Amino acid sequence: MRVSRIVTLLVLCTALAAQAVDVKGPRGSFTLKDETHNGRAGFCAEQLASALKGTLSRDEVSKYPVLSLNGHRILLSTASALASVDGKIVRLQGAPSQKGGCLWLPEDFLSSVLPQVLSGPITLTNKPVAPSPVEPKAGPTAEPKAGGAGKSEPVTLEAVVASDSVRITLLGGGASRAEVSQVAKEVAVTLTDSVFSGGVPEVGKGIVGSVAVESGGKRLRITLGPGFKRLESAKLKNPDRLVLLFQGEGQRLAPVPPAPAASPPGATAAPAAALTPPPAEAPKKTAAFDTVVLDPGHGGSDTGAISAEGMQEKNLTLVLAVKTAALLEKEGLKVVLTRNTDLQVPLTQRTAIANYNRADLLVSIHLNASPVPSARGTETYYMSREATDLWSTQLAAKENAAGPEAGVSPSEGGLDMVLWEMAQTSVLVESAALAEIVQQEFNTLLGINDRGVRQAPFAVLEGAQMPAVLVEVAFLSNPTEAKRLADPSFQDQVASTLVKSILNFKARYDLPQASQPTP
Amino acid sequence: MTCPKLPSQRPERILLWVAVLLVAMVACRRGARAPAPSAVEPAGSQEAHAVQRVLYYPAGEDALLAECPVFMSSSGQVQADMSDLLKRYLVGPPGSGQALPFPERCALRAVFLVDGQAVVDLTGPVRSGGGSSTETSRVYGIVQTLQSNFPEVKSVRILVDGQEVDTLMGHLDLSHPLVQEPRLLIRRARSAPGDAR
Repeated sequence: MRVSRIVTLLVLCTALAAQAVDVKGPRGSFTLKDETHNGRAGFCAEQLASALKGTLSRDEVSKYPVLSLNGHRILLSTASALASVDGKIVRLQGAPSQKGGCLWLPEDFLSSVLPQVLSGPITLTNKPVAPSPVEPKAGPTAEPKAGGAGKSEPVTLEAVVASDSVRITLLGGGASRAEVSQVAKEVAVTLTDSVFSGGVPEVGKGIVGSVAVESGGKRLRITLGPGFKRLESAKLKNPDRLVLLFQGEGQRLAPVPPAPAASPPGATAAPAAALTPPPAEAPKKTAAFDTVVLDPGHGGSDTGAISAEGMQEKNLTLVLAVKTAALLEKEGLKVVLTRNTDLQVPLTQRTAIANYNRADLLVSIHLNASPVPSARGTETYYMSREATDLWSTQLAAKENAAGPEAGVSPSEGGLDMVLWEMAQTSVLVESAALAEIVQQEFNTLLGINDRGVRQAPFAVLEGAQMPAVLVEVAFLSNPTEAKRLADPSFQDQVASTLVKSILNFKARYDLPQASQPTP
Repeated sequence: MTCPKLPSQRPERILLWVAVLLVAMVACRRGARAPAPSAVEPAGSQEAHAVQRVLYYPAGEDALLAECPVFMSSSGQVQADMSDLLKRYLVGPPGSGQALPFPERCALRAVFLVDGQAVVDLTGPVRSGGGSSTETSRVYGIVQTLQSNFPEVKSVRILVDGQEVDTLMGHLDLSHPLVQEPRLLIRRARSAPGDAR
């Protein structure tokens, strides 16, 4: 008796888990089997690659999974919920994960990435895979069958905001039975047997103008902003939810700050250096990848490391940066140096210079030192995730505690924090790839074993809104490497290696963007 | 995992174990002769006892952090134990000839715990030297040592001469508290064959 109950339960669980998503788009339709992972709906990347005649491989340098679909390159990371679609960052609801022989992707990948890949709107419809006597006809407009449970469960709202999209998710039993209608510049979502509960998320302005709950909590009214281009919606299950994806351009969470350059919240603004007089308007981007900021480490009274012969790190980093800049300019790139003389520039200001110039890359050049004289080789660092997570959490708690008495409303502070956190997170994947490229190029140059790419919360990398790395080229504390660093021909080789790394990165991340039509 | 100075470690460790064993035997004998605890003696009094701690020092050319177990007395009070541990840490790993992460004249001024954040106040030439490798080893050696030995420590803030500092040597951001970075540890798979643990 007990065994039969268990078997019945197992069969029931299997049937419930065996869901599928019908995807209809410009290139036809296909079905993906739902693979639930840690309670979250998703699917195998291999299945998607097969359905779209694409490939799933590994990036040669970073070893991250790469999904090639319809001529588009999607770089994924099992350590991050961020994906890079042709060099453009997209945030997923969860990080991809290796599940047996399957690279599991969260279900929202379909709504947030696939329309870009298929160059057109898609329709998603959930349906059970197992044969069922009441199986609904699946089709582009067919609604999933309403579950019996949770008919009166309140619906909550979540929003994910990016500059080119706003994703509003209605979560709860009633969400999948909501009716969506669009009239002119207004979208209405009406709940048939439930009400909205909780707050309305802040989404800013641009693509979406405002979000409000009306009619006693039964109706959500979303006004569309001037940046709006198209709306896609998907009704999904496990959990029940309705995803509205508003696409366009120019969504902003907060008013444009008067400060020319972004820096992490809480960072004290440094006085402008002579090198960076504050112009009235920030430089405008002219191409997908055209500006590199080179940061010669240390300067002024901060000498950095000193070799046994008295060579100072600050002087050598400046020489290396100037030589690298000259070579990059020959390649047609605009180069900004955080200092071009023996000047002490605060670390936060170096990052601000890169942000202000809307650089595509920030490379901070340093020379290493160790108490172990035999230590040698290159180390490449990028920002630490652990540290930024901690700081974001602490900042949010601080701002929440400060409240209106501090002159900053919790929502304003929270938005700053969210923006900063997003900026940090979004560059991490590509910073890692850049670091790998730089490290490999220098390993080849110096002919040494790999010291490895490392992560640490370096001040100059913190708050950088572009891929950013700090390169410790070689050890001034190692007599052999110090001697080489003093040699102008070796300095030229270091500069060439940096240029090669940067151009390699540019080639890998710039071309797909450049080939996209300008909006 | 090994202390940075592997060759001198094993004999030391054996001697340490022998010493601990002898102390334990003596304590047992004395305990057998001792009268029963009196009713006035407070329960759970803060009597010092030996505990194993793990210090983290940069090892080898790559300067990743390696475990170095030591036995220390514990008062049972976190703050006092943290202070003892850091003072021991600054002495350097067991064995002679090993390069110290901190210059010899560096010392601990104070360490205290506030809401899970250990504040470590150092003095001396802690900012001397240079290079990310040195700075990372110094800072994360302390962070890793504290967080590994005291679960109460959720993050670590480093001060120099009682003052907040933005950085030690121009790389790491010390204006915020730090947490341990697992990637800066030597992986167990890379431990030496002579590892005694």
